[in-house]
Order: sequence, then structure tokens, then C-alpha cells
Amino acid sequence: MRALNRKLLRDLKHLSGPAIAAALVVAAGVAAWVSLRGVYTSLEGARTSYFERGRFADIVAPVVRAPLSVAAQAMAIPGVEAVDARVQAPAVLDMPGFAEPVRALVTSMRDDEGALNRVFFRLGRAPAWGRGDEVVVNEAFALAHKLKLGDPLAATVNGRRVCLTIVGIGGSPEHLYVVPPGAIWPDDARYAVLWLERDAAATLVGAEGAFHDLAVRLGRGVDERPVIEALDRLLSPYGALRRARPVPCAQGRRRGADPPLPRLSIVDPRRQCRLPV
Amino acid sequence: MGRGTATFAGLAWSYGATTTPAGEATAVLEAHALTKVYGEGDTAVHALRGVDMQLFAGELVVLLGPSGSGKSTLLNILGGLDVPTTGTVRYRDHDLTVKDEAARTRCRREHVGFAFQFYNLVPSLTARENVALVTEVSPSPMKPEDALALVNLTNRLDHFPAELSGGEQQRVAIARAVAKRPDLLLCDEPTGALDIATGRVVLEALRRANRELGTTTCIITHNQAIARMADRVVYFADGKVARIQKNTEKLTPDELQW
Repeated sequence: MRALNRKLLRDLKHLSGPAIAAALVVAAGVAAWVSLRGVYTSLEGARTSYFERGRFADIVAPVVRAPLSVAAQAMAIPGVEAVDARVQAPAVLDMPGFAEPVRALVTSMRDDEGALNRVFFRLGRAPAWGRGDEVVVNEAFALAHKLKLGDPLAATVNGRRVCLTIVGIGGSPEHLYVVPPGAIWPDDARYAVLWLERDAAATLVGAEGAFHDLAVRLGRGVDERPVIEALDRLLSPYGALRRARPVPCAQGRRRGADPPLPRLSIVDPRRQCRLPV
Repeated sequence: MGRGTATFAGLAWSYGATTTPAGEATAVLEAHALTKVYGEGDTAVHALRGVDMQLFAGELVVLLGPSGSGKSTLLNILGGLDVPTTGTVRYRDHDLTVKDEAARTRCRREHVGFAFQFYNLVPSLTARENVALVTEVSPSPMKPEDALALVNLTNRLDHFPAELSGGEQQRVAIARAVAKRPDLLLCDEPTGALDIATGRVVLEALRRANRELGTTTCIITHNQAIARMADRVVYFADGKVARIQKNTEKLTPDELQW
């Protein structure tokens, strides 16, 4: 053995304590990295899977009011896989025993395989077709007020006072983190999301044959930019509130099997602030 | 009497001849008009101020001078560890003032041995292994055991530096310097950290290396007594050679007194 190799071995022997400590630190670091990497990969996969199962929209395009025929034209834009034309309106709820006003977003929902931003039910079911008195509430609000299936819910929507019955409690990829308009934190006791059956919601908010918000899902690998430009051209006569924009967390799906981390893991909460004028 | 040939940077030269055919001593190393300046402007320090010097084959030279006179700077330049600000140093037919660090390193490795006041031994290696560090990278070294025998350390081959006295450590350093059979051995205050008795033993080791291997040896010291064992004494002062004295009678280290 060469003298320098002997020197190395002896020096390592003399430094065995610090060397072992350093090796343990490195091993702990590697172990932490491997486990965190595994957690990260697992969470990333769970998120992608959740959004995929919920058919999370890639693009949202809010308008003041547009006829449903425009949604059919949007469907014809190359690269568009599915569209969902929703009606939405603000509401005020009367919560017994709760002195402060409670606001809500009334939004339409579809309960079919082609629906976008599908509602997941923690309890109950979707409102029956044509039943304007059946409603699904978001889970956080239900927990805050200890609501259960069958409970009545009095709401003022579009100047009309209606009495709703809770038939479902759940959420959707679009409303994972519900923040009231103008706020930066959730306020589950004072703000709710109410899902009504599409036609019943349209009747309630006076938007039969129209929509307020277009959710668009693209084919895998489709470039969103030309689609957004086409949507802006299509919707601008109908009071597009702002440019159609991609939903951050949905971008990975379009790029293939290894999506990058989205800038946000929730839908932009400001989106819920938008009210039809 | 020629001892062989060596190559360096693509050049070949013969070495080891101590005299010319006419019987004149051969200069193996020549320094001419050496200056060395550290810093610049008002703060410049002139360590060497125009040194002319020769070392002849097989001789033992003592370079004598007070502290701060530039001796160590000169030794570093003669050994190719440093380059002068101006002037030339030629070893045989090779220029040692080239800027090519790799070329100077190869030259040092093959032809120059160093011993310093502080021994610079590797603490985790035995005496034999410290010498082996050099023999493993030298082209035609002697065995580490033979080098240590030359400095009378046969019985300390497997001792670590911490188990050796200061004199013994210095002798290991000298054995390490001569183990590669250098043509030139440069020693900077080799007895500076030793008492008289130990210093004599170390000087005897240097004398044996000089006599038995024919190594041209240059010892730097500020100890006047050591000058009497040299073939020539170069007196150094204020960055210059003050005078050169040739000893007609050399003393052995045992006869030195200081």
C-alpha cells in the first residue's frame, strides 16, 4: 500500500468519531430527502388524480351574460374537449341563531359524466332535475353551522327569498379553499357555496338560456394560448369580465404524465368574487 | 566522473561531473544578478539586491548571514520554489527562472532535495513511510531503509514523528530529502531548532550525504560555527553576497563548537 493511502486510512481512524458523526448527518439528510421526495411525489400524484377525477377545467372565462349557443361555439374551438356553461349569482342566507349576515355564491352544477369541476359528495346526493328547492352546500360551511341533510336553508337570491333543503354536503376542485369576496382567509361561518341543479339555478337567477361563466377543458397536450385568444374573441361581445385565463393547477394535465408544480393548488379565490352584473 | 543523464522539459543533459578534463571544478548551478522585490512603491521590500553565485558539483557550501538578510529567499529561488524579480538561475543547462510552475516542479522532484528548520513530517506516517512518500514518486530513488541508515536511524524505522526527538525528526527529514538521490540538497537552518549535540548529529548526516552520494549541498544558517565544515562559505548581508571564503581545512561536525 502506498504511503499516502496509509496516511489516509490512519487519519480516518483517528477521526473516526467525527467521521462517523458526519456520515450519520449525511445519512440522515439523504434519508430525509428520500422520504420527503416520496411524500412530495405522492402528494403530487394525489393532487393530479383528484383534479383528473373531478374533471377540473383548464380555462375559466367569466362573462356578464351570454347565450348558451355561444358555449356550443366555444366547443368548436380546436383543442377544446369539453365546456360547462354555468350560471352564478350572489345570495344572502338567513341562519337561525346567527346574528351576522351570511353570504353565499349560488352556482349551477351538472351531475353527469361530462360535467366539469364535478361536485364530490361527503354526504347526500345531487339535487334532482328541476328541483329548485334542493341544494348542496360546501362541507366547511355545513360543519361551521352543524348543518345536516334535510335541514332547511332560507336564501335571498336575485331579490327572491327562497327556501331550500339541503340534500347534499360536499365540495369540488374549484372550491377547495373558499374565501369570501374581499377577504384573504376563509370564513366558513359567513360564506357558503351553494350548488343547484343547472336548470333550477338558471330559473332562480333569471338566466334561462344563458350563462355567466364558461369552464373549458382542453385535450391532453393542447396549447392553451390559442384557445384563450379564440375564447376572448368569442366572448368579448358578451361582457367578458376579464381575459379568459388558465386554471393554474390544471396545466400539468395538458402537458402529459409529469406535471410541474402549479403556482397555486387552489382555484383563484377572486374568481368567486365575480358577480354577474 | 559522470553519474548518468537526466531529461527535463524535453532537454537532456549529463550531470555528476565534479571536474572538467582540465581539473577545474564545474559549476552545476549559477545565479546571476538576482533581485527579488516584494510589494511595490514606497512599501517595496528588496529581499535580494543583485546576487551572483555559483555552486560546484559535490561541494558543501554554507550560506551565512543574519536573520532577514535574504538567505531563505535566495534558497527558494535556487531550488526553483520561487522565481526572482530579475536575474537568471541556471541548473546545468536549464533555466530555473521559467514561469512554468509544472516544469519547475518536475525539476525539483527529480533533482532537488530540501530540508527546513521545521521538519514537515507527516505525523500519521512512520519514519520509513515519510521517506517512502518521496521514493514512490522519484525516478531512481534509494530504498527508504538505506536513506534512514545514511542518517543513522536504522533502529527507528517504524517510529512515528511523535515518538522521535527533534534531532531524529530532522534526520528523517534529511533522509527524505536525499532518498531520491538529488543532485542538489538545499537546507534552510537545519539545526535552528536543535541543541548543540543534536545539531552535530544532524550535520554529520548532511556531511555523509554530501560525501557518500556526491550531492551538492548548500546549508543556510546564521550559526558561524557551522561555516567551518564547509568547502566554501558565502557571507550574505543585506540581500547581497558580501564575500566568499574558501576553507583550506574543513572540520568535522564533532569538532565544531558553538
